[in-house]
Amino acid sequence: MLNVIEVKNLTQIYSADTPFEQVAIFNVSFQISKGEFVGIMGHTGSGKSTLVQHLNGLIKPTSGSVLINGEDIWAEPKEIKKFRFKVGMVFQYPEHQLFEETVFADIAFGPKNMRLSDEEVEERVHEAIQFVGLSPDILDKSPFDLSGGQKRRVAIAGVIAMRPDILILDEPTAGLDPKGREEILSHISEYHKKQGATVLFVTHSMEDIARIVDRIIVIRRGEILLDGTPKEVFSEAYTLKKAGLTVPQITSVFIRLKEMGIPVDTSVYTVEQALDQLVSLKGRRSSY
Amino acid sequence: MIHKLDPRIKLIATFLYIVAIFMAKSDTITHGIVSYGLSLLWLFIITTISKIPIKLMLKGLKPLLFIIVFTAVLNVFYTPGRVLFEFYFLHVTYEGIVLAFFMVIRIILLITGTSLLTYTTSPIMLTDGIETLLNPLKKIKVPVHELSMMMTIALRFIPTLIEETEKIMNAQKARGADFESGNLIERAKSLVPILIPLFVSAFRRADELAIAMECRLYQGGEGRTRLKELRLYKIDYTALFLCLIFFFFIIASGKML
Repeated sequence: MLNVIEVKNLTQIYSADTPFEQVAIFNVSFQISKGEFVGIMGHTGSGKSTLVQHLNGLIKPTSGSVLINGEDIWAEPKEIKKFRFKVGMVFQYPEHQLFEETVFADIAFGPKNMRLSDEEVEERVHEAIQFVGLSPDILDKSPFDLSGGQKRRVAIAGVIAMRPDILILDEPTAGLDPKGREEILSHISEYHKKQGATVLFVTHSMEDIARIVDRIIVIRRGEILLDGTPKEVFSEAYTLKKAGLTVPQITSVFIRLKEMGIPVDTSVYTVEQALDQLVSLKGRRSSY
Repeated sequence: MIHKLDPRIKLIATFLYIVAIFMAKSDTITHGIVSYGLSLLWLFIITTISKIPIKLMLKGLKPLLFIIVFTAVLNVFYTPGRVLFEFYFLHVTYEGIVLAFFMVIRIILLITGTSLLTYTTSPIMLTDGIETLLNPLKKIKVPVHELSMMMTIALRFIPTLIEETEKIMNAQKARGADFESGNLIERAKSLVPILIPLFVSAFRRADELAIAMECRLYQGGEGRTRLKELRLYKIDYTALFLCLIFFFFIIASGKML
């Protein structure tokens, strides 16, 4: 399968050759193929946000390269904008970037910068607002009159309206209540399925991503610590703890069960999987 | 050692230093060499004691290079006197070159000397010092405490706002905003997506800070005590004494020679 994102030996050093030198990313390489839903996890300050900002050229790597659809994004620095439209990036607390007078104008900012026709822009705005589950009635309102959760969804719609092939979200659920979190997650999942887009989801919360992603990359101190399916990653509970992360609650329950001598598989990470296991375990017991 | 001096002494010393440099005579070459030589020596001694690398001091001059060169050029061409050579309408005079030379030294001395104050004093100490020095003004109803609190807060938020600006710029760049190309009007317009969110967040921060301060029962300077009381030690008096001697020498050198 085609690698939409290819990162080769990426290194980022801030203030090189000064006493304040700081290695943010060190020799990171990975590939992501089309249509994957990847979670990027790491402790605060692990370099995960820095890493994803390289993918649409907001930060230029000190060394190494980033390839999008096989093209080096820094081959022609003046053409970098082209990649910013391909790789949509939703920042932490994206509601702080809203500035237009109406929600419509704000969502249209990206598509307008792409120099699309007015009809196309309008179509995309309507499509985007539906994707994030808001009613088209609010398009005429001022974004500053909305609630926090609505603002965030408008901001996400502003990126989705560019129809990026790759969507990167940096902690999109931070500071939301459980219901808002659930909603945002399901809308992102839907975007992933309907558009066949590649999605990168940056977070430090296990519970968020465990059940929706295909693959998890764990970053620790600017290096890749683990890379694999959720099942593979969560079975490394000890390594995760070292990186300052925890496994999902249900996994830790199962780890404890195993320690107590109950023959369970500790690689479960959703409640449904756990239930299956318990049911089959019970079945075995009763056959004695 | 310089770092530990009382901020009030440092402020007074810097003030004396600035006045001395402005009063230093440079009408003749001997005057100039003596007074600026003395000032340079003085600055050099303090820099050495404070252990601030000279490289860092010179780095601070960089952003002002344009002003320095501009002043020098103006002085070289527009000072009347003995003409050394002419180039169309431009006359280079002997007096002009001398004046320009001393003017450049004067500016460099001023900038490096005052930056020494900020390099060796934390902003909080500085505002504390200013507040106590201006305290007598309270008698004529100048809100000294409020002013210094405003200054402290402003200084505190400079790095925060810079960081915020960077974040917003990145977010808008990710949506295809372009800050680098286009004519003047287009560029000014392209700042709107940065400035509005920046103002919104600055107001939000101000609100939050006000609430946080009120929660800690802040109610202005009346009866407020300090974590660190400013107190003068022997070394402070010595420093002040040395500064006065320097000041006296500069003034005297202009009068006597």
